[in-house]
This record gives sequence, C-alpha cells and structure tokens, in this order.
Amino acid sequence: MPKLTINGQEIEVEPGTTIIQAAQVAGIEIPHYCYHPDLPVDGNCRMCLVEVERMPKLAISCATLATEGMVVHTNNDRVKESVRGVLEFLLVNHPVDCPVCDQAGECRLQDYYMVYGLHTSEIPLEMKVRKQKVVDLGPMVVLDQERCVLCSRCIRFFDHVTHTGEMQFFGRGDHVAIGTFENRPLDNPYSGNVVDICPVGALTSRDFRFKCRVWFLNSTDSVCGGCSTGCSMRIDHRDGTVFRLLPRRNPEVNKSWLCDEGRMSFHELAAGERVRRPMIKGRDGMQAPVVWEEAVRSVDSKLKEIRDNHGAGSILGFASPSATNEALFLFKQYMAGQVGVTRFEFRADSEDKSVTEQEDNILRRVDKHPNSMGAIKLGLVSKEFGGIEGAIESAREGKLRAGVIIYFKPLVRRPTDEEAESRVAELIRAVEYSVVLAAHKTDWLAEASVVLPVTAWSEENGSYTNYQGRVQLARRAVTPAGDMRPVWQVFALLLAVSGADISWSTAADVFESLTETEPAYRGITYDEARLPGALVADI
Amino acid sequence: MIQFNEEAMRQYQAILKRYPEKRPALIPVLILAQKEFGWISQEVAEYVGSLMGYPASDVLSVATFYTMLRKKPVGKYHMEICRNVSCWLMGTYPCVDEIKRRLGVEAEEITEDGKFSWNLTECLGSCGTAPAMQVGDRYYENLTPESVGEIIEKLAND
Amino acid sequence: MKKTPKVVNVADRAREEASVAKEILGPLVGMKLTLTRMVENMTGKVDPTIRYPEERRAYSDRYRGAHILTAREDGSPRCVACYMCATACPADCIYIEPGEHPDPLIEKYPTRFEIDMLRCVFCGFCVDACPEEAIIMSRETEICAFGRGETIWGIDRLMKRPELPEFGLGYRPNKELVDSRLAFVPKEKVQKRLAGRVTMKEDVEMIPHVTFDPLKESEKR
Repeated sequence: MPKLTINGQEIEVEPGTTIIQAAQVAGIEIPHYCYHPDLPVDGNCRMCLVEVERMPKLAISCATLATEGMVVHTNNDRVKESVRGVLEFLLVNHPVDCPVCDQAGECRLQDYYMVYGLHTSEIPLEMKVRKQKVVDLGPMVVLDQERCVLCSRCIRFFDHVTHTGEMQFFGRGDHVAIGTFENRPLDNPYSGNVVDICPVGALTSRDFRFKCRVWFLNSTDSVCGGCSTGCSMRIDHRDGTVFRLLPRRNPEVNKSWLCDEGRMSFHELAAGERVRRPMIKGRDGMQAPVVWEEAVRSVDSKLKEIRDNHGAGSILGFASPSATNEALFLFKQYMAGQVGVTRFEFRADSEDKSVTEQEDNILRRVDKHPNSMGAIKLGLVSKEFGGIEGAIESAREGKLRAGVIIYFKPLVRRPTDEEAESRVAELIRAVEYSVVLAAHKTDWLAEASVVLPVTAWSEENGSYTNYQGRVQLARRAVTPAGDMRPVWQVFALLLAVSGADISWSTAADVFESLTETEPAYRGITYDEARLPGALVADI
Repeated sequence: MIQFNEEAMRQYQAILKRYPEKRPALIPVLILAQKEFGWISQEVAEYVGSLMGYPASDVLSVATFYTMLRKKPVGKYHMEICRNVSCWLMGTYPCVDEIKRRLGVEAEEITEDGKFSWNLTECLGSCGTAPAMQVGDRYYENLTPESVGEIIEKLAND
Repeated sequence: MKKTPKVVNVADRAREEASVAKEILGPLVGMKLTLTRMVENMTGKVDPTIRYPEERRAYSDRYRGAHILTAREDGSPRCVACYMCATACPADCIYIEPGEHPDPLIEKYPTRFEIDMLRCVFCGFCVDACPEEAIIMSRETEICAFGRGETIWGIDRLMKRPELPEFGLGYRPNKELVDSRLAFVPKEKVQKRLAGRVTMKEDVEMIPHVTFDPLKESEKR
C-alpha cells in the first residue's frame, strides 16, 4: 500500500492508483479535462500536471502511478504557471460564446480560467479558427465544433462504453474537429451521456437547450424510476418544474451513465392529466370529489365490512412495483395488520421474472418499474394467483370481492404497457369494490369505487430497491398542484383511522420502522441508503 | 457500389500480411484505395471500414490527418508543384501563373474536361533540380513556364 | 478648578439690557439670509425652480432612465438572451424567454424580453452586466400608463417607442454605440422654437414640442 505525500498531506492508497485518484482521496482537486474515472486514461489535455519531486519535468497525474515515498505538489508556482499555459493554448481558438452557450455556469474552461488563468487573450477574434456550429447529432445532442477542447472523452465513451465508435477527430493541427461520420446522428440509447462528460459546451443537450441557465437550478438527489436498474441520478429543477436529469456517479450501479430513456423519463410525468382530488363513486354510479377524511373513513369501514361478511380472503392488495418501499411497507401494515388481508399481488406483467433480466449489456433492464425487488422482498407476491391474471380469474368467480390497487404508469414506455394496463383495468372491473391509488388519470379510472390521488416519482421522499436488492433514497424535487398525498401517507391515514398507533410524520420515520420490522431490510440506516445504497439481506 | 476489384483485393491481402496486427495496415490500405478510386470519398471510407472491421469515422479520422490522402476529387493528372524554399527561389510562381493561364482553374479545382487539377505542395526533395513538380508518381524537374506548358500539352494529348 | 456657575436673575437682566432697537433690528439681522434670498427671488436674480413640464432639467450623459434594447443592422434585437441582466437585476424585474436563432453565428435570441418598469429600481446593473451592448438606458423619466399591465414593457416598447428621440441616450457602455444601433424610427426633424421663455436660466433644456409657445397659441385663437 504505497504511502505518498500530496501538498504536505500524507495518504496511503491502493497499489495501481494514479496520483489524480490519490489526490481525490485526500480531498485535493486537480484540474483536468480528459481524465474520467469511468473511461480509459488518455493523457492528452495536459491540465492535470503536477510536480513530483525528483522528476525533472512535470508529470500528468492521471497517468502517473502513485508510488511509495512520492512527494507531489499540485499548486506551487511552477504547476500553476504550466496549467495557465495549457489554458491559454486551449482558449486561443475558443469562440467567445459564453452568452449563448448552455454550459455557462458549469463549464470547466470558465471555472479553471477564474482560478488559474485570468489572462488576456493575445489572439484577436478575427484570427480564430472557424468550424461548424449547431450541428444536430440526433435527437439528444447538439455539437459545436469550435468549442471543443479535444479532450476525446466522447470518443472514448463511444469506443469503450457503447462500442459503437461513432465520434472521432477529423483533420490535423488547429483544424482538428470532433464529429461523427458525415455528421450522421448518433444512433445509440446512451448518446445523452456525452453531454454530461463534455467539459465544455461542444456537446450540449437538445432537450435542455436554452431552457434555463444552470445557476437558477436546484439539484435534488434521486433514483431513476425508469427501470429496475435504479441508476443514481440528480433532478435539476426550478420553481416546481423539472428541467433535466443528470447521473450521479455510483460505481455499484450505473457508474457515471444514464440511458437516454431514463434521462427523458421526467417528460412522461408531465404528460397526461393528474388525479387531484379523492373521489368516491356514489349510488348513482358517478364519482364525486370528497375530502381526505371522508374518503379514508369510507374506505376503512367498507373494507372491514367486506371482510366481516365475506372473509379476509375476499380482499386483494395489489401493489405497484413503482411505489416506494415506505409505501409498500405501510400498505402491508394496513392491509394485513388492520384489515387482515392475506392475498397480495403486484405482478401485472411477470415483473418478478423480468426484474433482473437485462435489456442490453450496459444499463437497461426489461422490467420498467423501479421497485419490483422491493415488492418481492416485502412479500407482496401471491403463489396462489401467480400474477394478475389469476386474481382476475378469482374475482370473476366471485371469490375476490374487493381490491386496493396502487397504480403508476411506467415512465419508460414499451409496447407491452397497454396490455399490462388493461389487465389492471380488468381487475378493477371484476371486483365489486375497488380502491385505486393513482397519480395520472386514465380512462378506466372512472370505474373504480374510490380514487385516491397520490404523488408520483420525484414528488415524494422515499426509497427504492433495485434489481441487486440495493436500497437507494429518492428525494422530493417538486410538489404537484392538487390534493395528492404520498402513498405512504395515505396508508398512514388509513392506519390512524383504523385505530392503530401511528407515530410517523416523515418518510424517514417510516423507513426506520421498515428497517426495524422487515427481516430483509434489518439494519439499514437512512445514511447508508444514500450513495451508493445499501444491499438488503438475501431472502 | 464501391469495392475493390480482384487485383486490388489481392494487393489488399498482401498488405495485411505485412503487419502482425490489422490496425497499422490502415494507412497502406487507404493509399491503395486512393490509387483505385482516385480519392477517399465518404463511400470509400465506409467501404474500407467495413472491409477491415473499423467504424467509418475511424477510417475518415486517419484519412483527414494526412494531406496526401485526398478528400476531394482530383483530375486525371493532378499536378503538385513544390512551393518550398529552393523551388520558390528558382521560380515556382511564374510556373504556377502559366499553369493557371493554361488550365484556367485555381488550386484544387478540376478543369472542365476532368483532366487536370493542381495544388501547391511541400518539398519534394528535388531541390537540386528546382523548380520541381510531381504528377502521379513522376517528377518533372527544372521547370520553366515554357516547359510546364509543354508538359500540359503532352499530358492533354495522352 | 471647578467653575462656579454664574447666578442670573432673568427679569433683572431684561430690564437692564433690553431696548426697542434691539427688538426690531435683532430679528432682521437674524433673518439676513432669508431676506436676502427673498429679494433675490423677487427681482429674478435667482430662480432655482424648474417649471416642469415646460422646462426640463438637463440630465447627464450617464443618466439612468428607461431602458432601450439596441438593434442589429437588420433591426432585430441585439440581445442573445444570455440572462446576465436578469441574474444581475436586484429587483428581479427582467423576464426573458429564449429561442433558437436560424443563423448559427447568433444562435440565441429572445422571443420574449420583458421588464416590469414598476419593479425596476433603475440601478443600471443590467447595462453593466450585458456583454453585448444590447441594453442601455435613456434619459427618459416619463413612464406613464393607464393600468399596471401597460407598465410591463416588451421588446417592441423597449426598442421602438416613439418617445425615444426626445430624451436622448443615457447610461451605456460606450459613448457612441459600437456594435449596435437604435431601432426606433426617427421622427421628422423638429424645429427648435424659442418659445416664450418663462425662465432666465441658461442650462435648462427646452423640449420643443412640449414647450409653450405664446405666439403660436395666440395665433390659434
């Protein structure tokens, strides 16, 4: 385990660590463009120069291994001057695009210039080399060749992560330009990642283009709700509108990447009308809005009535594999604990089989729900029914009379969605009394006996369990307009109305109860569930 | 559809045999492609890429690095006149003027009949016989405006 | 050594020191300044009052009045919607919506640019922040409206309001506009009439069309 000294600080690192990684461990930031922890080292930008004692020239810290007894200086005058020189070269032909460039505010040329540069350009504007601007590289990416600093991160991404080799350098000298063959659009489901890794505004997001300046945005840590991979991500929003989703680096789940569909998944939330108020179907067959208190009391008494008349086996608890762990936990607490329900299901489309099934060999999984594993670990599977079809059958036979159904539409669409949704609709029609917790309006929602409006992904605090069984926290970013409640809060209300002793006021409190009660989740703390997330027990 | 004919295919296989790995063979293969197709167009780059198993962008990236791998079509006789020190001192530019007068095209433009194009190039290593120019694999040395005119006439009649 | 206070009997002192002359002249002496000023005003030697609106004060070349959005050669706004002004504004009164410009060398332009003139504090930070010389200020102070809706000025009003030529340019980065020009349609040249002067002051700017001209007025009647 080599011990080395960086800026007077002594640290010990694993063998095979480069100086830049060692500096990160020590909390020291070394400026860099081409280095990326999830891409092979290139060493072409020369920004990460450091002085290593007894080496005659400055060394690039991304490609120099940390060795025993090394003494490194990252911010003495010699290093600062060299970095400044590199920056000056990079800025020679860089266009003065800051007012129109989307990267402003998170641009590493800007940031490093303010720290290391602050020099005046020696090159008049007319002499700068001109290249192509505003080139469309597909629906996700816009290219501006002039802004490129030739760090080759995008090239290495397409070579080594997606193995499609779409981008390359063309030309030589100061006419080198980045691009695709014949400016063809990028045609792979991970193209949005190059926008993240580009340190300057050469590759920008078409979806986010000009929408908002980044310094107006607030960031919230969250988990993608697109599929069971559960990539760690960050929601950038302002005043209740989500503008973009960015990945957070999680070496255990998604490294630094997000798939394009997950990146765009927040648009699906805004599409379609929301359910805003609790509704109860009256004797005339029409749903009418009620206040929460009335809705909850009505549901509790009606469910207990059905249980008393027909037995607890006549009620089905149908969970959604998109609901949070907290929601599913309280769902179970109420249904099993208070009403005595024994029959639970969550599978509308064999999610238990597809939860670990890969859709490609990079990130995506076939199961487009973020919490199928959570539903499985919490035991919301029925061997008896084997899925929703069995439940529908049972309801048609008259054995199932009531159902409490949580339904969230998937954020990443597939052709099989319509069929899965229609099965849920069938289930609601087949039972006599149905309580549906939904976020978005559907045409079959009017047939439910009770509709309770709930918040969807990014609108509530909660945790999801991904395909690995890893619990990760998703925080609330926006609050929708209307009388929606988080699903866990609905069941907390039901528990309260039913007479149980409740003491939860936040999702964190519910999480604590969950980890105390459920064997699979025992021992996981809220802090552990942040990055990179904590694994549940193998049950 | 662009592809190598039999003879070119044989030469391609011979090139591959010269190198233990495939990647270094890319440049000789591109030179071969240029001989066959005249210039490295987008289709040629795509073809070479599919032939060797590399993405077209990779092939084009290598092609755009080198000036002698032409990315624009040229005439049947492409004249490259040296513009470096010796030739320049010995009178390249009067020859260039004569070429321009005779052909009526600027550098890198092709004449109407598709026969001629020209551009200036770097030192051909023929400084003792300056000014010099290269047409294909052939050097023409000790140029004067008159001799350049004769050369053009001779090539035009070929 | 502590000074012993002097003991004074006020009634005695009045009897000893008072006189009629003192009573009359005293206030006059004290009011010397006031009376001098009064006489100066009455004789017209001094006239600090500006009789607005016939007379206007001459504002400096850097006066911060109502905003102007400058134009390019073709008349479109110079602004590239970079949000520097909106970010710098301490009153949060600038609202911009950007759009994609067809020319890749310009790339971005504002589809909406609105300043809420009632929120604006006329600090000039927006002019300081702008990197494109796209927003400057004039010497116009007369912002009036028939309702609050009219006080939110959009691109048209900021670029081309008819009152612009009268007031002149104020706070701006360069004395002569470097890359931009004004978009307003200049009115016909107005003859400067020496209207009936109601003041003797030299440095008061007379705005021709609003200055009262007694000759013309009497002709009308």
